[in-house]
Amino acid sequence: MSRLTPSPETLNAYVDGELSAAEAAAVARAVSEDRALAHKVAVLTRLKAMVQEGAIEQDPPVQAPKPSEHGGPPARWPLLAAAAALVLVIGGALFFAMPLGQPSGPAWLEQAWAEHRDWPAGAAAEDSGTQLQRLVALGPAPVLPDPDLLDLGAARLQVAFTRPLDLGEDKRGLHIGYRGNRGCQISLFIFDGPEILDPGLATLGEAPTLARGWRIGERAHLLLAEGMDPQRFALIARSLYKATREAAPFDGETRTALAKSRAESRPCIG
Amino acid sequence: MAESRPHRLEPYINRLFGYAVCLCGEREQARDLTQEALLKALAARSTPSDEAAYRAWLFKILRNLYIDRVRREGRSLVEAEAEEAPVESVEIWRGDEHLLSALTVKLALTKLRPAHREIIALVDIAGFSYAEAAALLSLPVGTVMSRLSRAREALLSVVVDNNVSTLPRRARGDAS
Repeated sequence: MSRLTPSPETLNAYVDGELSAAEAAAVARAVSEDRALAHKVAVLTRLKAMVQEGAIEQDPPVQAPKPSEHGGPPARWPLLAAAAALVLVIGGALFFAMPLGQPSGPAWLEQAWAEHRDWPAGAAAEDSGTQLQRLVALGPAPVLPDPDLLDLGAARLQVAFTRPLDLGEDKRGLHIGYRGNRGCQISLFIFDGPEILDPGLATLGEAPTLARGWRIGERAHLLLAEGMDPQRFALIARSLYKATREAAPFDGETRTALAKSRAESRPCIG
Repeated sequence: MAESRPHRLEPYINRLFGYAVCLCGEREQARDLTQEALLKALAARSTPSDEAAYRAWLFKILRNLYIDRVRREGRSLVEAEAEEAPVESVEIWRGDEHLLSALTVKLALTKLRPAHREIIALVDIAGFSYAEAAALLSLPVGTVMSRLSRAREALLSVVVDNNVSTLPRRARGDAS
């Protein structure tokens, strides 16, 4: 490094810490002897800091996806295959006895209601995380949900049970029962149902027998509750619909709205 | 381990997103691009074990996805822009550096040509060394140095010329 004025590239490299010790010392010496040069270094240093401050957000609108959003890394597939086989062994309730492919109708919905009302005795709410992890372990791959997308903890609803559904013809599903501490019970069914339900969020039942359904690809979703505050139920349905459609867990605003809705709603009846 | 993959990504998400904003020029596309890159990284059969290589690999994924997207949209990617003459000017160096704010610089950054935005993003936002940036861009280190120097001069020039910040000259002894 000569005593010549450092080039713009060298000054930038100095600011970026890219020079060798000897080069950096030479620039530092030049800077100490030249106020204009010192000012340039100060401006470049400030510029770098401001770029970082302006562009690196502490809370960017992106989250690390979970493995199940895209089927998971290869190492997990053997486990999922085993889980799927386990479901076949377990069997589970015979759900939606109508032939698959038949358009949705009252009989179809009635069967879901029957399943909802067959709430397992003694199914107490427990930690959502634990239950949903168990759900993942049981879930057949075609309907494997991401536990984070189905966590209704923000609405003060905990998973009380999960059970696989055998739809026949290699079609399967899951029934997730959520329970609150004010008597609310809500069921979410996720099942293979390419011909059942439309992609958009549909109202399938009004108070007191509340029902909403939607479909994502070949995966049908059905949410049922009885005696719940209709506005609260509608918010839960919209939130789950959005989360499952966008494969993104509830954001802060949604969580707050769910908590507020729960606080302002009446206990469940019926 | 598969379970640790999302956690391994997390320290890089904010910088990946910042880089994506610089590439795309706006947040919505950047959000989609970052999400797509994260999904692709998560789905990869193998990942670099070395942390520096892993970081470079992540940014490379995002950059390749951006290039694919640009090509799909029929736009031309200005990959090797002419290294134009530097904007060296006394004007860009005048004023108090403390008047450069994050907001004014962020706004000015959007007005730069893509190659300039990207090199600043790689070094200042992603935190790459010149050698790492050169490897990612498949350029010689010397080109990275000159491009970065010109990019920062251009950034200062935009700040001054567009009056994003007035950078007023402060007289010696000015009590304000």
